[in-house]
Amino acid sequence: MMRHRLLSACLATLAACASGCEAPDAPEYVTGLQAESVQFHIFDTSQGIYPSDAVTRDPWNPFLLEPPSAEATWTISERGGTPLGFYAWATVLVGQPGGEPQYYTALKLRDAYALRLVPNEQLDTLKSMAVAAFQSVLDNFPDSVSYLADGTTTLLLAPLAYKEIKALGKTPTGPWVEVTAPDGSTTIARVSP
Amino acid sequence: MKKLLACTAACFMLHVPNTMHAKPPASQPQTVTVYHDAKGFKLRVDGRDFFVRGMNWGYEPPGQNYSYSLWEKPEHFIVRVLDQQMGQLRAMGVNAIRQGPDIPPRWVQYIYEKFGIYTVVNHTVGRYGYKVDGVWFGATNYADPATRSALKKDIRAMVSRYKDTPGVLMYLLGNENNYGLHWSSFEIESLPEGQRDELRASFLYSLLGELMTEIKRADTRHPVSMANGDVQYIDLIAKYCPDMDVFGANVYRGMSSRDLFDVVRAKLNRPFYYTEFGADAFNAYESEEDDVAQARYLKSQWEEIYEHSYGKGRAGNAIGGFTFQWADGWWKYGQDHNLDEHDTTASWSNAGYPHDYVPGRNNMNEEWFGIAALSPPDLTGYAKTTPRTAYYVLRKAYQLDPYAETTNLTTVRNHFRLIDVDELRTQYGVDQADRRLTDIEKSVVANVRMDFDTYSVGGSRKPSTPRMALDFDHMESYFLDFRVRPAKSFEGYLSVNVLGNVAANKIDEIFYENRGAPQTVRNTEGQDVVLADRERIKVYRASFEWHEDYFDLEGYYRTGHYHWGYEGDFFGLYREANYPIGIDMYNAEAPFGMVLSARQALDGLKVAFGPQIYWGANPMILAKYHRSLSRHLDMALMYEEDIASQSGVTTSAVVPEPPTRKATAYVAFKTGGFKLEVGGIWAGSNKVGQRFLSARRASGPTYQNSGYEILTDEVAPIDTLGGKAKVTLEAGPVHWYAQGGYKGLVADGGVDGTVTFTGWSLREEGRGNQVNALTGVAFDAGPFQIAPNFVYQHPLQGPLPSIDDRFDTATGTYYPRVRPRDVLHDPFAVIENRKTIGYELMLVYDPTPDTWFWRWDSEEREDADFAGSLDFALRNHPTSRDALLGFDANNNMFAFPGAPPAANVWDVTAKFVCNPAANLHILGNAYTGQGQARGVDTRVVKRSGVETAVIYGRALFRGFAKFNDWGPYDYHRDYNLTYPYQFMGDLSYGVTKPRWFLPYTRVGIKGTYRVLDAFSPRYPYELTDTRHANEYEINTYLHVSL
Repeated sequence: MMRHRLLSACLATLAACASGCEAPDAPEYVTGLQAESVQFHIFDTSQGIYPSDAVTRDPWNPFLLEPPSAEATWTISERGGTPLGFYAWATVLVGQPGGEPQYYTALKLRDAYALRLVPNEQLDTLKSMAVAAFQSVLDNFPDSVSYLADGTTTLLLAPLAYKEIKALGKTPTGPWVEVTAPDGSTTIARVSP
Repeated sequence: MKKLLACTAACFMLHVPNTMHAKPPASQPQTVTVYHDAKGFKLRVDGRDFFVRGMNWGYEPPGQNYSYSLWEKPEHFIVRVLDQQMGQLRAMGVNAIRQGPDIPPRWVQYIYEKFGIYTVVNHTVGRYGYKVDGVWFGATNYADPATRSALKKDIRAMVSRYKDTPGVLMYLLGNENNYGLHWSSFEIESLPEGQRDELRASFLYSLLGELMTEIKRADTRHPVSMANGDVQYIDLIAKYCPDMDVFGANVYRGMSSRDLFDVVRAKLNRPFYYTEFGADAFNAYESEEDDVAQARYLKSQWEEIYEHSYGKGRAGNAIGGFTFQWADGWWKYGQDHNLDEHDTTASWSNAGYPHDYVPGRNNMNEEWFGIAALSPPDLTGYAKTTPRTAYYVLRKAYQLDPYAETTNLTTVRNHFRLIDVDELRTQYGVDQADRRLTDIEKSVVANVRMDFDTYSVGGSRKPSTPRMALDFDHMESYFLDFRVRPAKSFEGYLSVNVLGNVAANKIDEIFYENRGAPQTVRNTEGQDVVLADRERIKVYRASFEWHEDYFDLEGYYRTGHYHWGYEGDFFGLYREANYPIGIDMYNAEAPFGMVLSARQALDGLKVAFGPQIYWGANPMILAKYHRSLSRHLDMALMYEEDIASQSGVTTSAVVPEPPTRKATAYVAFKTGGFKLEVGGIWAGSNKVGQRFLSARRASGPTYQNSGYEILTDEVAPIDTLGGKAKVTLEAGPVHWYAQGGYKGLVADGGVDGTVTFTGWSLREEGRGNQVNALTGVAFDAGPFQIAPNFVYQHPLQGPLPSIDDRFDTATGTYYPRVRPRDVLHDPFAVIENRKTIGYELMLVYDPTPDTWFWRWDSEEREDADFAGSLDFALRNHPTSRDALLGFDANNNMFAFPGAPPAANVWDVTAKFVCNPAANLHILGNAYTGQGQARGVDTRVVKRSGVETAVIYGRALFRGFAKFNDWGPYDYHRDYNLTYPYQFMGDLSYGVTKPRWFLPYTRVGIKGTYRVLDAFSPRYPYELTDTRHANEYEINTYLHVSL
């Protein structure tokens, strides 16, 4: 590279000693990232759970340099597999906190648990992370919605998160109660303090 | 000598008692001769003995400096100054003053005829530089034949001008020129160090001798003398100056000049007078005014003159002297700044004044040599003088006629013994108490400023807010300035702003008082709440100075400071922080910090620290050690440590960057007109290891078919290093520089704040990630300067293109997004350091180089009838740059998603200062050219405009006309918001002459009119519309300031 050609080895030695004696690595070409090459790791038990930003320090996160765009995130979420989908949503959640990225991050954690993407001894931890992520929707983004593919139909995310927690065998916390509608369907409601 | 002896001993026998103020008939030039016999020397005017009771007199009021000239003021003002001050001098007994050859002969005659005071006309013979063939040389080369010839021509003109003027006593050449022998030439440099000054001196004195001969040939009525620095080179004087009638010297030896009179008699056998001598009236040790000590020195010195005068049995060659000086000179320390401050800094050391002398410390206070104290000018510009004790002492001393038949050594001693300094102090004590009383009053409230404004606004615009739609509103803003001085060594200043009503309808909606405008916020209940009384009172400015033996400590809060570029800060770490408009406009809390300057053993060490020592700086500590290792070698070391991130910035022009640390080293070698500067920088070490993307154009398969290969890399230790070298060479009318540098990716410095030769606009940008080369040359041709300049800079890593991310569902591959870098999210960015090839041609016309056209305050100082410049600059940007940061409507900072494309832009700017009459001063700027937005807009703006300011007496007019130009704020350029036309006119009338840089009392009216199109803010129509809209504002104001 140009800058390396322009200075003498003497300067390089001096600089290396001044700043930690580490030799620079050669630059690498940026090419596409194969989704299947991305593996899920538990770097921090708070990652993917608002307000933690641990995922932006996670060395396995392929979006460390640049978060994905909204369009790419949806595509990854649908077709990119669980690990890449998790890192995409969790990274978006840090940059743009909201119920939607929190909910889809939780879904990816749930899927990772279901697919047993971590060693057995970490499965309980992963399950707890998924529950905590759904609980974060209830606690931090109780009124948030998501849209179906038609772009107009909205989904309230809190009831979905509530049900996911129960599906994972846990009990949601907070001022939430399950109510049954006259048509027999169930939903949840927030109880005023 | 033969001429000196022309008057024989018989003349002495016809001695007429000294009549100091006796006048011959008007309009008759005097014949002044030197009388000499065995008893000594005397000066005679038209045959009468004349003992020189001289005074170095000048009128330079506080706020002005050496460039001020009383003789260019209106006649009534000159008469007022002369009548008051010559009246005081005559009452004291002074019979001669010393003046430069700029005093018009009519005033020489006036002073003589009205007050009986003679004038010694003093040509300084290039002591402070000289212009030869239209080219100004800072160090006069007395060996240069052209210089010698020009000086002779000058002297002949001087003699021709004054020789027939009544009141001229004699001619005086030079002023300590032997202390200013600094020119360099091959002939000089080839000699051993110790012999160089001697050779230079021989050229000086041979020239002075030749000038004296010329003067004697042209004017037989007036003697000629010189003002030497003490008796240095007296043997050369004896050798080269046979036509000298009187030897004069500036002498500061304290109470007694010891053997001086005898040495002069033995070596020269000439009469002697002091051209300067005296003592300052400030005790540097006690740090307080000391008029008594000054009086004692002068009493002793004058007694010695009397004792060595004719016929007292001692040297007999003293014919008098010129006391230095009449009034204090508030400009002398610093010379071009703090002109309104009576500085108490001692600037040189002299053990001959033991009452305040401490080895290793300065004790001579250059601004305190007046035997009269100077007061700040009154509303008419007149600065009153209050005689100190020395005035009364000398008045008494002068009552003795040294040439009276009854005066001998004993009567002289008795006369001076009976002069009781303590008793004579009474009058000045009373005057001083009166002044101190005034000082005490001022120490509470130093100034009050009241600004009353009304705003009438209208037009077809679309107001940004409902309140902005008001047709009429008003604003009141009050400033209270306090000065405190708890100890002599400490002075503090505080200015507080208090708001009245804040106008909501101003068309320039960002301004200092706007902080107090009502603001609507939403509370936790979801209700809108109006905050009507925000920040009604706020500290506007504050500063302090604390001077101790071992350090000076200066603090500043929004008061400004200079950069350290001329004292070893080669990479611009400590930036200039004088912001005349911006900090008020954006309510910035900058600069805010302190500077500690060590003295004595650690002299050269400076430490700056504070929350924001220049606008946009992180909280930091910055240390510099600078010293001269020899006459030719300077060095400096600097270290900066950012302590935290800056958060208090509200405009895109000064966005702070992440904290880092920096260190620089600097060495300068200079000899004659040659200077070589070399420096190195280490910066951004905390960024080592940070990853970044880079891009390079390629053919074949590229990243997402973008035409670029994208690489990922990390900041390496070598990227923290940089260096640069600069050579300057000045040879007569040619001034050349060249510099080049390499800076690693994160080796960021600051902007170079220094001025190299002239006012070039193309200069080195301080940011890292570049290699650069610059060169320019300035040719002086008489009053003209022609100065081409060239800049080349190239980023080591170019800017990043903008490529969207994408997930390829067919291959299951994700292609990350590539975006232009910015300084907040990336370790470095390509901004000012974008690839540039710049060409510039500067043309300057300035016939008065002593008031330099490129000084920061040239608007006020430039005294030429006309001075101006024309600058052409072409910037070729073959590539784009990375992203800048901006602020959104809610004042949140963000990075623009892109940058303007590659483009070539050019600018032409013209500037002039014009003084067609004594009370008429005109300034003007004109520009035309192209510019790019700071954000992402791709439109290249072709803009032009003219700005002017006219002072006529106490009236001031300012105005501008701008065409297709940006509005006044940073966001206008960020978002490329322009107006087709903008006009402004502001006419005011003050109680005093307008001051450029300080508030003063005036009333005025200002009108602003803008035409809006689809590129303008507040445009009321659809953006596809081609109609124009408009907005206007009429602002009437009364600004009151003490």
